[in-house]
Amino acid sequence: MLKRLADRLITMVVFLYDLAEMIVLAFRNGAATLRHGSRPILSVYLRQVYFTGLEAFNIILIISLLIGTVAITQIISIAGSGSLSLLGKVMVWTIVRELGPLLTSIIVIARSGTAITAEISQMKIGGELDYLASLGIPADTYLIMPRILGVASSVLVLTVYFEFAAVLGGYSVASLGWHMPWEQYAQGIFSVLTLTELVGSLAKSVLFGLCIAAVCCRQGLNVGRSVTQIPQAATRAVMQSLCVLFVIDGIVALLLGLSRGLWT
Amino acid sequence: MNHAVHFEQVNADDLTREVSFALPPGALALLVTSRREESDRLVRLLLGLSRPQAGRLSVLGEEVGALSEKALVALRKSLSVVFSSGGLVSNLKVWENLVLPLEYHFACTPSEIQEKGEAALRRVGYCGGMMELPGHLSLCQKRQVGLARAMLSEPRLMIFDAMLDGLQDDEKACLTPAALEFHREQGGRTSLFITSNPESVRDIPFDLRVVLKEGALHAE
Repeated sequence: MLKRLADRLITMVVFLYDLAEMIVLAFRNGAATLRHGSRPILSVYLRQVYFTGLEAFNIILIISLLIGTVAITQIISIAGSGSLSLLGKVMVWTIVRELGPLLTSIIVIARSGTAITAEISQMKIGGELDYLASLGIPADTYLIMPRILGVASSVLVLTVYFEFAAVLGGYSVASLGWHMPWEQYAQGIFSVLTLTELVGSLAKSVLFGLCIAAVCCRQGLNVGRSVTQIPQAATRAVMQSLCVLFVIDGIVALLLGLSRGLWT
Repeated sequence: MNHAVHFEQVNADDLTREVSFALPPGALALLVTSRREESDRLVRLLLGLSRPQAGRLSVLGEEVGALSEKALVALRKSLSVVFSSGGLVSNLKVWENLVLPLEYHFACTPSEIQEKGEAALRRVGYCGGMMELPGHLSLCQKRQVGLARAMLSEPRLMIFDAMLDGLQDDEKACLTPAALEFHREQGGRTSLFITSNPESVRDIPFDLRVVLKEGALHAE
């Protein structure tokens, strides 16, 4: 029992170490690429941003508007229509602090995480990583680094977009249903939307993006020789990404809670 | 003497026996293996993608087993492999595949890349689309693009991994003259054809033949 627990712990430590190593290596390779310049790497990065960021704009818009609507309706049903001045504040606390980075990352995992794992697995099984190596092109510089940085920057931009659309979606419902004036709503928002709040939300989204991409690339690189391992790797990538996401979110929430003095 | 390729009692998985032979610089050589897996293993050894379990292997004067990852990358820039499948990356179009090493390693301007890329494709007789994905190409077309890409790097050592296996005579007629002409173009360039089917390369006038079959090794 104790041995199994120790094995699990070691596996988890190795997994986290691998992720951290991949992310650090991605930044190091990214810096080297910026110095020397390489069109093919930029092209892989832009392609990743296109698939993960640009193509997800519509689905993010729809989901963020719906989330904004649900959030504002629930807030009013709990706090009552007499406390409209609270709406803006609660929207910032729920959407900007938590739901924006978290839901955006979940959508990215569902759309791009599986795709990244499947693509890299298929390339590995087809021997394409060896073909690249034979050209003197290391997979971690050409395939992994632009994907990690591309997903991270896409999650960052999508989170801003999500938060903006959800807050506006919430206002449109409050305005139509409870005739809430924009000034009152905006006042509530800007009274709590500090720079720290915004930077915290965006930093969390970048961290989520880096981890999602690293987990998915790692799973893709770890497949063996059989194509039946591709769906298994994709499933594992989704589950591990979600676990990592919630663990990081929990840790960040605890740390921020401590820093705000909630635990005194 | 500095050999282009030197196997000294090399052993590894998938090899039927210890392999020992040497290729002088500038040789046009044929290495006949007993089966496909053996050819694959030898190519991987030559590229430093796997290390020998025993023996020493040197390529272009460098001992592959002792090289760091960085040194291996540098070595791989000096040699080119034309894989039996063409060696193309499936999510890149023909043109992107062709110019990938040029754009990655060499500081060429877009017009230079355009000029060199088109010339290489003309040279191997490629008539397909530039914007096709490799999945839509025939085997011969994939190998044509692979050969054109290998030529663009101006390597000192060319390795042809079963490049002519399974092709019709008219398809071979596109690839063989281009490969031979490229070999002769630069003195000291070594070309090594690896195949488990020597019939496919019977028309090529090799300087050296190494047969690695059923526990026997002959150099002619």
